[in-house]
Amino acid sequence: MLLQQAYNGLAIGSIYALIAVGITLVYGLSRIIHFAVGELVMFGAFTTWEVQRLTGSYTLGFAAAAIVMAVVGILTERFVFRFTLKTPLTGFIVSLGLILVFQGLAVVFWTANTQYVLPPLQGAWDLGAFIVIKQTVLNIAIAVAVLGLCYVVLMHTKYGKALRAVSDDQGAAALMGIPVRRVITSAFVAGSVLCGVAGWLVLSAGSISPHVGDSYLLRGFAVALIGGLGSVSGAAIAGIGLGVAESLAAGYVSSGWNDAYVFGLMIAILLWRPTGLAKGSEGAHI
Amino acid sequence: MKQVLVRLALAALASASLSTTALAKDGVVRIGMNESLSGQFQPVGVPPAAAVRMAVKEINDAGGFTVGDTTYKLELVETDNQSEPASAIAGVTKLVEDENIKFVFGPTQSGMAIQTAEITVPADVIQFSAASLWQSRGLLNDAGKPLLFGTQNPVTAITIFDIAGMKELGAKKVALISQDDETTKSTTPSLIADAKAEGIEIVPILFPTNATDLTSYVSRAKSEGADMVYYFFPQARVSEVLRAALDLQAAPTFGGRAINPKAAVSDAIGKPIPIPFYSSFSSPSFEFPPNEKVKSFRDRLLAFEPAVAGGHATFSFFSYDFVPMLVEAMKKAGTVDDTAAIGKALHEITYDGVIGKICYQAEMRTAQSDGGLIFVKDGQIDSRVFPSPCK
Amino acid sequence: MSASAPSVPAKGGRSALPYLGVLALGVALALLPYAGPTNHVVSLATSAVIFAIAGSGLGFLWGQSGQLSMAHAAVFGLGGYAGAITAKFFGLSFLAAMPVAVLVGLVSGALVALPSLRTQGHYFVILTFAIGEVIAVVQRRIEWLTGGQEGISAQPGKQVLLGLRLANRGEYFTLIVLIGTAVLLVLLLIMRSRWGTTLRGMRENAPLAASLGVNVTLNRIYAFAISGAVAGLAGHLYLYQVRFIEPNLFTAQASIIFLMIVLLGGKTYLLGPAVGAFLYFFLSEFLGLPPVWNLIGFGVVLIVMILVAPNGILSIIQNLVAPRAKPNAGTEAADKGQAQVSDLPNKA
Repeated sequence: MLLQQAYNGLAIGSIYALIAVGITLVYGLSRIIHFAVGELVMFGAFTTWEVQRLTGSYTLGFAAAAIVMAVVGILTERFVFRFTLKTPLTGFIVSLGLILVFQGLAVVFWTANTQYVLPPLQGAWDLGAFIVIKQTVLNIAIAVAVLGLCYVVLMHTKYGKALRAVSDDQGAAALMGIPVRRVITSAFVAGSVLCGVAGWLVLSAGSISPHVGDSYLLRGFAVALIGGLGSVSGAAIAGIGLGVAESLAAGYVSSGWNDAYVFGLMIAILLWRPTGLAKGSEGAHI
Repeated sequence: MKQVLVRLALAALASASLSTTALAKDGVVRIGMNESLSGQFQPVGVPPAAAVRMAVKEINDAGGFTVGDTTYKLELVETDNQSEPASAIAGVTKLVEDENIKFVFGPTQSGMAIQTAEITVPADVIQFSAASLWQSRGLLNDAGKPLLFGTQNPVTAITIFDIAGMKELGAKKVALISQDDETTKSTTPSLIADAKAEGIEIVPILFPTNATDLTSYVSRAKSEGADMVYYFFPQARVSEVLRAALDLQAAPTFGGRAINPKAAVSDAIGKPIPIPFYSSFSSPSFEFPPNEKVKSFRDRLLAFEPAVAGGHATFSFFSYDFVPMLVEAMKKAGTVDDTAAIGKALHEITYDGVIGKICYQAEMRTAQSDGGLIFVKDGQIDSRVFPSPCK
Repeated sequence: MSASAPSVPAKGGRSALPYLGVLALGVALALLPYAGPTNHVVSLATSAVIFAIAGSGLGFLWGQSGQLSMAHAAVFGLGGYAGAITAKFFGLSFLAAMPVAVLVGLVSGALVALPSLRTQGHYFVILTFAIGEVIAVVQRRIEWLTGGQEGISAQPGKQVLLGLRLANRGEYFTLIVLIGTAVLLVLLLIMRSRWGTTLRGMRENAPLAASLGVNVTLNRIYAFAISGAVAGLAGHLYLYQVRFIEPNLFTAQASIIFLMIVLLGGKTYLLGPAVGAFLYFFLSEFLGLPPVWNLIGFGVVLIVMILVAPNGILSIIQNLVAPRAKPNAGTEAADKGQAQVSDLPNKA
């Protein structure tokens, strides 16, 4: 039971980590609290579902979600967020408007009904001490690969260096010849794609609806903050930590206080380490 | 030339309608509807709304109905509540206080049904809703609110269907998984108590409304050593629980309430469920109609409003029959505006509708009707009707 | 206090004009039901006024002290629960429960402020988000007191206040507009006081204010308490409008609505939240689109409005009416540049 719940937590935590890294990328470069991430997850999930339904291929669905979300990232940056880079708070409010637009469009395209999906891998392995649902192994592998890629790109490539430079000081980065605008656009693209990938993983759990993003929003931010804004490894650790904490609460806390338990933990951690476990960047002043 | 023809035709039409009014009087009865046509409760708002629209259209297409010496048509006035209380209250205010409508359908969502009853009750308006909180909070046996009419079977009746299902699958200990919300709270306590009296132990495992991963709750159900996992609400998440229960081998049988059997037969696992399965319904099954009447209704509604498919289509049962039943009550009462008399007539008649014989009890104003029970064993679907107790 | 603090209304700081303006607007709005609008409009307008009052609390906190709370809806809900619980268990009337709701809002508002002693910026915003969720969970769980998921009701019955019947739609509207006007006048008084200047000084530069001997921590808590008291009062008014409340009405989603309302109108303007609230409730009436498109339409309008006028609709009107003159109704958003400075990230 303990092992089982720990594993369940690992599986869901890897999804949180993906979303949190998406948030961190966008925030780090633009200082915008992008609240429509839950809807990006939802859009990624629906895109995968639609393509998989039409073509029968999960791989195509996965690829389509990444491409569509990249386009969404470019469009939202070009036509909306670009105008708010000087006032990140405005960007935050604009993202609230985007929530309504995305949810509404999803209802128009796919109705408000829940859609069921079959994961590509079905069934489970019984390991005795606990049971491993096959799809979750694939999910964790994808999460690890994507997060690993992010880490390598950020830390060990020229582009990653540019990204970090822009995050630290846009003015200085511009003076050094870094194309700040393009770097910021790329962060929106990368952030949106990460959310889209997370959407695909959410989808494989069983069902999606236009409002599926709501529950992932606050958790995504909780993880990004607990991990420390701007830190990929922090987000990964915090994501898995939150997932495991939730699963254990679900398994052992018998009253209905589960949701309070998770948020309480988050409050306690932020009071203990005000800028997150991995000592993230100071938040912008609202 | 064309214009002249059109004019001639119009004149002919006008004189034709004049001549009919000379024989019998024509009238219009307006009924109102407030549902969640947008926002988070849209999936439960759209099916009952579509069913009311179709019922109104069918009655009008059949020439309306006659009360006294007047032939009436129905006129439906709709307001969307955007799944927000302020909007629901404003919408019903419009229907009741601005349009002077005497009959209101919806909202289906419980909180808004209670809030809007505050407007319909003082105005002596007849209001229909499937809201579960109307029952559990005692609005339907409140003598001061005689014109609120529930449209779902009493909670106690559905409990009987459930216990029958559990017994047939031989369950002695049941792990009940459901969302921790008012819908669950208003129905599970009576289920747990009544099952206990029948020797079945039910262990509730509730997940919070914003839970992301239900696997951990299924794992917990498994650790309870139950011989059945029972899932209740919300329907949107049934396939997650079903799949996790099978993957984790949580229990040898699976039961539930109002589970879209398609989830069990194909959608959740791509094949019919390998373990014995049952689901109880407050009405006959929409997806696997147990008889011709239900099948015909399902086909008509899907043609009328395709968006109903796949969601909470069952909710269409909780409004459709009540439009013609209201008409029957008007005929019996001999009035289309004395709501007290029409309310009294609603208690006296039994209407033979899609969901079987429908009647109202004296003490609890919620409709008794056919219930449903579906079993899936070895890939075989067995859709049954639990006949209504009405005479 | 300091020379760097924005000098509020440059000239005529003691002028009674803004007060009279708010009073006149309030009285005019209070008379709306007597001008023969439909009951539908009165009902929507009642909700708009209640959200405007609650929004004014948030607007005060955000626009004046620069702090943003995402637990505002939770505090608003606590005010409603205070009214419902005292009515249910002690039979308190609408009027008698009002101070209780205000007090509950005041105390819980101050409590929400406490984490700001340790966390700042976005961390604090998300923290208040979590605090709001925890409050909603508590409302759900203490069933013997709150009714839990099944909610709790309150009835106006035959209560009369200022000669206005609570159960009458039009008269209740008039009553809450009068209450709302009183709230705005009090907020205006605070904003134009010396303390209001101190608060704005803290907003622009907290370290500087502290170095000048201002107790930043304490003043911040006061601002939260005032904002909470206003939210608690509004929650109480909301209770008697909907007459049935449940925890799901006061989650983070509701806080987002308050946030949108405040920003749409303009957070530094006294009347900003009111303008935002009326727009929020009446926009779909004007758009008249099919149900789902109404929500999309609202989202688009919100985005366009914020991009065109980041300081709110009132900033457009202000620029149109008097590009350089001092702002109306005692607001100090004339220093638009400063409002933007405060929005810029702190490059520490």
